[in-house]
Amino acid sequence: MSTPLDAERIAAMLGPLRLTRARARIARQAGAHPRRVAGPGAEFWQYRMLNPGEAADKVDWRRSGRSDELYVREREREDPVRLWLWSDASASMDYASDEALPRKKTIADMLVAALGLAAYEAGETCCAPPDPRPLRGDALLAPHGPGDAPRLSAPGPADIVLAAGDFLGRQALDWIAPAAAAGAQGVVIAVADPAEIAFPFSGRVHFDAVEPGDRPFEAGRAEALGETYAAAWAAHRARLAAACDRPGWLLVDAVTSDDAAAHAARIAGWLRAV
Amino acid sequence: MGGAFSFAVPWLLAAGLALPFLWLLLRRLPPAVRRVRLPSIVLLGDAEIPPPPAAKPPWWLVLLRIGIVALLLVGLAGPVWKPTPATAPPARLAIVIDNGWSAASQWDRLVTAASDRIEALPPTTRFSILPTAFDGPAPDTHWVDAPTAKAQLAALSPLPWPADRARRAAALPQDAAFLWVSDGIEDAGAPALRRALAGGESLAVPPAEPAIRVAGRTNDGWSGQVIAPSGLPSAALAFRSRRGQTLSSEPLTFESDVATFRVRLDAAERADVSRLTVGTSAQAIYLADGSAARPRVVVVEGPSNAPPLESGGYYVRRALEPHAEVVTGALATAAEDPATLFVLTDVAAEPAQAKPLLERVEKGAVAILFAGPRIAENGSALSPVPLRAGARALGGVLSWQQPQAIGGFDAAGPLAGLAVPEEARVSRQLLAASDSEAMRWAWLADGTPMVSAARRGAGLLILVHTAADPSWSTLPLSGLFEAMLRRLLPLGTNPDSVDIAGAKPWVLERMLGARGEWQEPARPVTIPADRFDAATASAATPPGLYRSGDARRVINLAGALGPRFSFEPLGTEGLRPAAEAAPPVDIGAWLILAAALLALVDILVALRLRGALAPVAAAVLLMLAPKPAEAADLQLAYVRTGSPAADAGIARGLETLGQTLTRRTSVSPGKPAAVDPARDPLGAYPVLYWPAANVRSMSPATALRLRAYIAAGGLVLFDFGRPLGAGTGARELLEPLGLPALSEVGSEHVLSRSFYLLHSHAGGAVWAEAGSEGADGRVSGVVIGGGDWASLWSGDRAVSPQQREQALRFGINLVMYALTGTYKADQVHTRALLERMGEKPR
Repeated sequence: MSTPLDAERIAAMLGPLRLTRARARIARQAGAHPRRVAGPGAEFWQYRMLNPGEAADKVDWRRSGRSDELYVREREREDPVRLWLWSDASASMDYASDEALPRKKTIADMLVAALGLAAYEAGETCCAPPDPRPLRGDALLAPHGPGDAPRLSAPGPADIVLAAGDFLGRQALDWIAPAAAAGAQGVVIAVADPAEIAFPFSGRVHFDAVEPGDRPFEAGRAEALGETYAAAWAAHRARLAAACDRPGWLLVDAVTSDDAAAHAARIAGWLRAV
Repeated sequence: MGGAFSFAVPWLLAAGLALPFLWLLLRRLPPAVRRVRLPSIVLLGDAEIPPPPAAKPPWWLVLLRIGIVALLLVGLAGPVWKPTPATAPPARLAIVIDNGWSAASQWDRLVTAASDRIEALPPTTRFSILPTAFDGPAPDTHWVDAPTAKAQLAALSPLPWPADRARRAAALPQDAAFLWVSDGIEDAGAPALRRALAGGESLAVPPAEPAIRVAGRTNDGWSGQVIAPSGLPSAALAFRSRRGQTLSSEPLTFESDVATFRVRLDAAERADVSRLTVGTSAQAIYLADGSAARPRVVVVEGPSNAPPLESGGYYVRRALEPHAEVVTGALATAAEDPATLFVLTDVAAEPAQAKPLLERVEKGAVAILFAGPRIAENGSALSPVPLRAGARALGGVLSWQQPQAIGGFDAAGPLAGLAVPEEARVSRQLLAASDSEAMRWAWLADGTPMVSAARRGAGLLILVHTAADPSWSTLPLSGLFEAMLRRLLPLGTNPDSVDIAGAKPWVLERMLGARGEWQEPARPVTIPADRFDAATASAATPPGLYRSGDARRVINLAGALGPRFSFEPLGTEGLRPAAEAAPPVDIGAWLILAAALLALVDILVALRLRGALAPVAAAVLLMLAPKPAEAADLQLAYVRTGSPAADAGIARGLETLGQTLTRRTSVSPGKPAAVDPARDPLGAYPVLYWPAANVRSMSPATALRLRAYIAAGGLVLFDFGRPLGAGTGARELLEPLGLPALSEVGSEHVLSRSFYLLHSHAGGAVWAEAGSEGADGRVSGVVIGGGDWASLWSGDRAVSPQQREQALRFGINLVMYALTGTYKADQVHTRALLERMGEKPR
């Protein structure tokens, strides 16, 4: 039984989601000390004198009014931790084996949007690849990510990829290795329909093409295909697990009949972990 | 045992030539395919994709379908298996078939039995059909082949009079085998026929319907006797009106085959009865006619205090009572009586008084006036002729004339043919004022009228020119008085038939068929008037409706049966039972049934090949599965803590709360239910009490189910057992529920007002969802607190009575809140509403 909870409800349940894991990783890579230097950021760091030749609009007039000197207000440098939101929008995601079940696309979009909203609540930056500009407002709730894979412009240790899809294609996992090599972290949400796991077909069945380019075919006795299919599905799961395990990414197996909130809570817990 | 196949429609078998083409056609048609989408099918490599199946069905399926079509074809062609009889068949078979009235109720079975016998014999056999009841001389014997004999049988019908078996016995063919298809009833002619048919076969189908052997009207209804063939325990007697409606119905139970009935009917129904039925054949129908009716007569007397023997009404009543239902009435109210015959003895009716009665006469009633001193003096508006004032006295002291004898009767009137008594003398009479159009039905010896009549509208006015009491004549003392009145009685039901006694013969108008249907007479039947009373149903005088002039009477079959009739079983001495000819077996229906079953198998196979058998079977099983019983009634529920002692305490607390609810409110919960939120269905419970003192976490599955429960309108009361604050673990436990902001429940919250007005909740602060105070209609799905209410309700914790009462009130409010939501929220605004209405809140 699954209660249709919309993304906002899940986000409210998760609460503000700080991407502690990414910050901890940056800190580890740059040494154990916090980065106490001036730079672009939100928190106040220090006032300093205006250097000659600096633009006048940098002057903090409130502080400067109290003395004869001109001061500039500096903020503590913040690391640009970004959460890249991507959900697969290909035709294979528009599928539900039963009318009572949600479509794979619905679950993927909902999970991604909920986690994005929760992170936004905590003041984190969310982006839709490949655009590095932060998302705001309704753009957070819209389905993200054109293209067949999350293509990050310049992945680095401060990037966390949140990718939901079925990753059925042959090259569907190829993007993970380069991103991981550049230091990015990620969560791969593999969405599957119960029918895709159980293969409940028998008799004479015609399998239609789902994605453009697929080859439709007809099976005289579909039950005879069951074992072959089960092996192929197991291999698919193994590929996914291998691709995620190597760089230490999180793989979430989301079946559309599951409770999406539980998956969201698990991912949020992983992202919060130090 | 040998036999022969034959086909009713052999040419249909020619369609079997098309079967090979069907084979080719079916081989080219593959079974239907199921189309599905499965995104993950791309995981199968090209090597693993099976080659496309051959587009033809398996050979055994084609064979199955060809078989279905072949079976259907052969079945429709009407195959019949005819077993051959054990004994040598006769070359000529004379079939004597009873077709008197007693065969009518089972006629179809008789004909079928005879037809089966004909069919069972070889086609070379010649047959002759010999009915035992016939109209006219016994029909000649003709030898015909089987189809003609069957056609003759089909054209034969039962006749509504007794069979004449003796005459049939006298006209039997020679050199033939005999089969007597009889109705199984013994009668006078049966022994003769038995002797003539000695050595032949006999086959009896006893009648299935009872017979009315005697019936007649009584003063207040009908009585009679019905005789049943043996084995019939009961029947229903129905009285039907002229329009075919059932007026009254009476169950009959036969004791030793006879049932005597005596049925009361009210006057209107009595007049409307046209037939009595206990079945549908002629013997079960008794037609009612006017002659059988007891007409209702109203006698109106003039205002006289004469002793009975000097009162005209007395003589009229005594004369009519054996034949009619006589009531005494007054002139003013007589017209309201449903009777159609009125007798007025010496009533001097003025026009205004006579008007209602005259109107009845115009509509078809008959009024008979007897003269008397009052009419002689005052006249009467009801008189058919203008009257001369005063009476003509004959034989008095001042008269030379002697009292007059009766002169005669009009041959065209209803009194025609009455014997003139010698002793009757008329000494006073009324005279008509002048010659008039009135009919003169009887006259005195000198020709002056004694009975005159005139038509008035649809009815008749009749004047007897002398008095009904013996003061004017000796007529009331003679037999003629009663005879005259009896002749006039039928006029009441049929005022047109004034020539009723004319010697016109009775002509059959409609014949009652043996199976109870009306038939046009096949030939004209007339019965001389004097022989009608003695006529019984026979070929010469068939039962039915007869007409003579304007009058109608009936002849019933009951007259032919006689009052002592009973169904005697037919003797079979000298006869042998009919050869047990096994009837031909019709195989076609079985072949079609087999084809249908195979078609069902074919459907199952097709579903199996498509892989759709399991869903269809599951749907069928789901339809057949018994539905789970509905939840009995409202129940409070609590979450098991795992400790039996604690659970028992909570159950006690909830039970006490339930009893309090039953006593104080219209909510009466049953026994509290213990549930496990991770497994049990929660939907039936309005409130779920969760003792969460020692619970630290909630599994995702439980959270999912609880969210669904709250989303569907449920209410969960979390009781942490101590006032909320740090260390209660409330946040950790409730986190998976994904609750919105909470706020403390104040005295303005609906929860504090849903039944009692509460200012405290007996156990510290209580929290509910923020924004659920009631103003905007939101109902909180959770109530969180630490009152340890179960122990307060049950009384396990020693507290002051006030505190316990407070806890019970909180419990009642909580259940009311769960059941009614924000329905009571308007109370929150009562103060504002009252102010707006201009009243000071008290």
